[in-house]
Amino acid sequence: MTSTTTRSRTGTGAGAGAATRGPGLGRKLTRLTVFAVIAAVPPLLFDSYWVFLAAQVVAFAIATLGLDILYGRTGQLSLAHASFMGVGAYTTYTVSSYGYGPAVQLAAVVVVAVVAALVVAVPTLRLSGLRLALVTLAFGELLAWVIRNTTDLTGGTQGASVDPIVIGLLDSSEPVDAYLIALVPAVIATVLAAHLGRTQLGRRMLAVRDTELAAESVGVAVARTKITAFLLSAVYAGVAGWLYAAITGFIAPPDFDLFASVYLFVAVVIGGAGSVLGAWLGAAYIVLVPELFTLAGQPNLYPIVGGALLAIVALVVPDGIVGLGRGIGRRVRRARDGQEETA
Amino acid sequence: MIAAFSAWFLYSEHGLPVPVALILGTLFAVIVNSAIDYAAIRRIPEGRPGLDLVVTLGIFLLITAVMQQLIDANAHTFTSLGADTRTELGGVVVSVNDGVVVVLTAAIILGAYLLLNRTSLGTSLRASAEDAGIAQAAGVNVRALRTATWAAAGVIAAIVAVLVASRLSVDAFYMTPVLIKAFIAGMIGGLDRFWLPLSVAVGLGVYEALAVFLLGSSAGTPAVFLLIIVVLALVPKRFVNERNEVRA
Repeated sequence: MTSTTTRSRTGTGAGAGAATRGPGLGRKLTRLTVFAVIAAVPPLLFDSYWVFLAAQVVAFAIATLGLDILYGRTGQLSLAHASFMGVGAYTTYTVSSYGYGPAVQLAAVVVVAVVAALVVAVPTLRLSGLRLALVTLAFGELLAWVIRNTTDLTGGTQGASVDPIVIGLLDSSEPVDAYLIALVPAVIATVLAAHLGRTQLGRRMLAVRDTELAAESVGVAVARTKITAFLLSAVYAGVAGWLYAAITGFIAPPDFDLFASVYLFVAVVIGGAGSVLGAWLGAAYIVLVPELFTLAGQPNLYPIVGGALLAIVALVVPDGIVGLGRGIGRRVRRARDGQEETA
Repeated sequence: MIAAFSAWFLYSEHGLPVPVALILGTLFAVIVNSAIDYAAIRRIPEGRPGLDLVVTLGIFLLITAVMQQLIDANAHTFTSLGADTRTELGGVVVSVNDGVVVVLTAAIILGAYLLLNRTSLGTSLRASAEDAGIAQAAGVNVRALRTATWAAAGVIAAIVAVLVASRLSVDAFYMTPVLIKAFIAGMIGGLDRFWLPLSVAVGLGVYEALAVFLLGSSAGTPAVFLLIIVVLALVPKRFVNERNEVRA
């Protein structure tokens, strides 16, 4: 890939210096305020059902942030991201069935997700592109098969009810509580993902994404970077699965199958790969848009629109909604500057 | 899937004779396949890793959803093409459908081999796949060739879809396992080779059938996917070099 493309996707140049130093205190406070205001909207203004959906958006945002680290920043294609969510959800179900609380559940989810990611990542270090996608697809199908064929342990094709998480006064079976419970790990995940771009690891990931050979030639440990990305992404997905299981209270194999992984991919691409905001927009898309179609009485149209949008966005605006917004912003600024110069 | 679904729709819902419905279904699939190349594949910008897979995934979702919406989500019995006419050959029960599958498969493989290796069109095709820029500079109409390739691939895929449907049934997802296995064979065998992916496909079929025979019907899927992970993890590096990957 050319350096021009690299610049356009990572925002190097003048902007990169700023990105490396990080935003100033003023910008940080502005972002924090905007985030707090948006986060306060669902519990204050919406009814229980929409708060329940908002809680799901928050859970899926963690998953899409994880996939964004793997695909958007490291360029590794995974068709098993929903499977890693499944790993988290079914670990939660198993651990909670023994009566353990959220702290043990979360610890178990992280450990199992890391082990599962290592099982996939280590043997496939040499692979990338379509072949890596194929191996992740194989892993996902294997996991789906294990779930379907271990009815005693996982509930099999019928699915399983998961006990709600109770933290102090908060009970995840209540939509507002579920939303608040989900918000804490989501904020941590978002801050970590946003900060990643300013770390050495984040820059190594971008180098691996843009050209592995060049990255290797300047001393980037490509294999270690890929494995780290895979592990981070799997932990994000596992935590998302943990929250998803606690919020919905029920999990079944179709929630984590190949199509679910593809829809997570749709979310990242439509939102804008390589961007934290894009991952959130993508999560909102895959949770809320099906509901909007259902409200409009056309629930079957969602998969059609999803497929068409994925292809169109990938072709027309490969940087997704965020890229489109940035493009429009640049044009507006350019037009304004032009007007000022003329004046 | 488009070919088989369209053919089924034409003969069962509109009463067209089966051969006419099959031809029209195949033609429709070819048109759609060529249109996919024209509208999407050729417009994928260079230098965006994985974007081609993302676009084709989107088209896959779109086609599956459209088929589900246009017809329904149920499985429909397809014309048997001789699957119910059986005879015994050397102690093995074979149907006319088995014969049709074997003969058509052999004919397609032979035709594709001769086209690629014995005609100037095949040479142009291989040159375009290796380096489209140089092929274009040498006078090959790469764009037209690509669309023709997609059309030819559409014909072959349509024939396969009809053959599979005649042995199973038709629904919006019935070709997904076949697609995944074809993808596996292509990835392991290499998309720029001719005989190796074919051999891998045959080997995969035999291996899956053996796993089902020895371990039961539920063993087929995990056996295949375990094999992929093991093979791709152990295969010599020269087989998994990115330069051997071409757009799927």
